[in-house]
Amino acid sequence: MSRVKSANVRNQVIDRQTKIFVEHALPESPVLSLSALTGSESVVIEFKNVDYVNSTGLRSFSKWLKELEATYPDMIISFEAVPAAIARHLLILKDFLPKKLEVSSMLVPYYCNACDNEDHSTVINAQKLRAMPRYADALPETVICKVCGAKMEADVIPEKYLSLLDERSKW
Amino acid sequence: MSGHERNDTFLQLPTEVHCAAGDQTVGVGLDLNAVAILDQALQFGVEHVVQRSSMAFDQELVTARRMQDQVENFFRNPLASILSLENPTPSEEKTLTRFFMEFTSAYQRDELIAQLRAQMDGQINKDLLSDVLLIADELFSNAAHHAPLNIGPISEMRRKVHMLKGARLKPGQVKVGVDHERVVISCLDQYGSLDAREYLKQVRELISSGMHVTLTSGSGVGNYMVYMASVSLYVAVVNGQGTMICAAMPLKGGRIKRSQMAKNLHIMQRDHPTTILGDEP
Repeated sequence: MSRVKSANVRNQVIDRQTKIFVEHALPESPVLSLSALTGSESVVIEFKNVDYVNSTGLRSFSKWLKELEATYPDMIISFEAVPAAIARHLLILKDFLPKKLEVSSMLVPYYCNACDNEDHSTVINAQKLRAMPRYADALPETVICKVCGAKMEADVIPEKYLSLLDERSKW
Repeated sequence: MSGHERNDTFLQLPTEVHCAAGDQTVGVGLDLNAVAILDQALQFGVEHVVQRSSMAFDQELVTARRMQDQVENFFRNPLASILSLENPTPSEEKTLTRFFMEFTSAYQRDELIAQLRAQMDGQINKDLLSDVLLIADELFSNAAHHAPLNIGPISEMRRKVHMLKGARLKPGQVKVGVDHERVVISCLDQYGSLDAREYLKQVRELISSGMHVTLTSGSGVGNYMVYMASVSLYVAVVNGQGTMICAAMPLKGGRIKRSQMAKNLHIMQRDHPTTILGDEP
């Protein structure tokens, strides 16, 4: 019987940076063999296509991050395009993230109260956020529903959700 | 009502339901938060905490009564018992079911998620699907990985390996049902070995610890995730026969709205004199 994988991981190395693409879910095995990171100065993990997370995946990912941090103490770790499906767990599980981790960009979900449509394409990056006096100011002024044309609402509390992006936060 | 001290926002039920379900069984709350609901169940022994401002208040009361008075039917027709005001029949159950999978091995987790994702994609919005997948995954894992196997005392690690190698389980079921306003995920196992109070106690402890937890196996993080994602949670155990856990959420509205909705909690654990999961009569 072939096994249908709930998570999919691939990676590429450019110069001294390893980029890992995680799709569907957090894997329940190590994201990548740590030996594969030899020679890399930074590792970027992109989560754009992750649509859900379970406790086993969180546990395994947490363990892998801790081992990564211990094996390569100088490695710069960065999360990119963090969707709400992961972000809300990162916000809750305070012991989860390595001290040196940077979250460079997040996806902000929008919801249309008129027609129940949703949009997950808004990307907010850390640089933009830091240039703003309030987190909420980093969000686009309006996001229009592609289905009915109504104004959509950000389906997050910006001051809480976007705190993940702020390097000055307690992370 | 009992002699327990009650929260000011905790009210007695309408008489007819109160009488049908028993004195200590059902309580109606107003604006109880996620912790206060658990406390009503854990400290005061209230088995069904139903909130007046919840989205399907009348239906929640009916479901509470069904869990108490029609145990067998609740186990056979969980979606209809939760979603339907009419008598929950097998045909009503079938009408409401959008996804069904029987499992006999912990190895089927990935298959469950892949099929559920494919089946529900487009039927519900992406953010809600994320919670449906999470809940189905955690309920399945609880049922499949913690099934009491007759293999003697072994370490947790060996047990896990044994399960993942495909140890055969008594058939369990995962279902997803939808009506015009709610989606329900149900998971059944035929062991009935869950301690419902311990299950909720773990969630309560995680909330009070502020989630400052080590992510270790068995820490209850998965149970916490299920409780927080659900608007209504139903935990039913017939000792030695079966465990049914169901979670309900609204179909419409975004995550913020969903997280602000009044929660309901139902627990029922008992012995039962007859077989509840035999062949259909």
